[in-house]
Amino acid sequence: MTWQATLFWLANMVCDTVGQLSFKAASLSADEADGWDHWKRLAQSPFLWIGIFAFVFEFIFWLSFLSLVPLAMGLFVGSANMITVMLGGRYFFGEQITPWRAGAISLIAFGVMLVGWGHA
Amino acid sequence: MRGGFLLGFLALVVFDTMGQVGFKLTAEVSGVLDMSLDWARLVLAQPAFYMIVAAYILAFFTYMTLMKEAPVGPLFAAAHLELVTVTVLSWLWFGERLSLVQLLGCACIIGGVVILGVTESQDNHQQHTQDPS
Repeated sequence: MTWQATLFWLANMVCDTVGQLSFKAASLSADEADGWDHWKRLAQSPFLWIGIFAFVFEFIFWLSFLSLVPLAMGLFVGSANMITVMLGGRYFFGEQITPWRAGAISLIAFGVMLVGWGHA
Repeated sequence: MRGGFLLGFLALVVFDTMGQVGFKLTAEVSGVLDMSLDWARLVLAQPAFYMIVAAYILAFFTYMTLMKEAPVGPLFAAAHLELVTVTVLSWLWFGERLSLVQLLGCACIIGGVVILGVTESQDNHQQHTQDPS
């Protein structure tokens, strides 16, 4: 990958991770409400707007990244976000990393590596 | 609830796939981001750009609904099932090469998602059994 593509990829990873974790925080803040009330509470959560803001930038970085690399290759390196989101879920929300979860996520990550390797 | 979750998850994969295909179609025409008005006009003129917007809106509501029920780590990882659908579509639509290694990778991703699906639902069942309230 060129330095330009690497820069777009890293920026995308930061924005994606911040976005995912913000959405989870917003979801937890509206967890007790159901139906329309749930969506109203979500809309009032600042985390939701942080997440949306992060995804707007992710959108631009991803589009730029994909203009430099093939789609399959782009998805391969872009999937490193899986690890940062999992660690963020553990750190911020105390989500357990059970052996089954770790094994399944590792298998998915390995699969992603193979897809990218097979593309090269 | 489990059937609804599965249906929602499959819908999420479809919307995510639509979005990624839209990105590639738009990026092929727009080229590298150059922060110019002409570039923005070029992007906005692409029908695929609006496919991305529609896919993202639909995926957002689906994802937030699923997130009420699932932890973000495994849900985000499982959402990578889109790689399988996008890889197959990139072969069929964009003429990108699809090797045996990639097929094996797709099988691993599907396997990981299936393991997550089975074990997470078993964990939920055990939690409900231990704490019926």
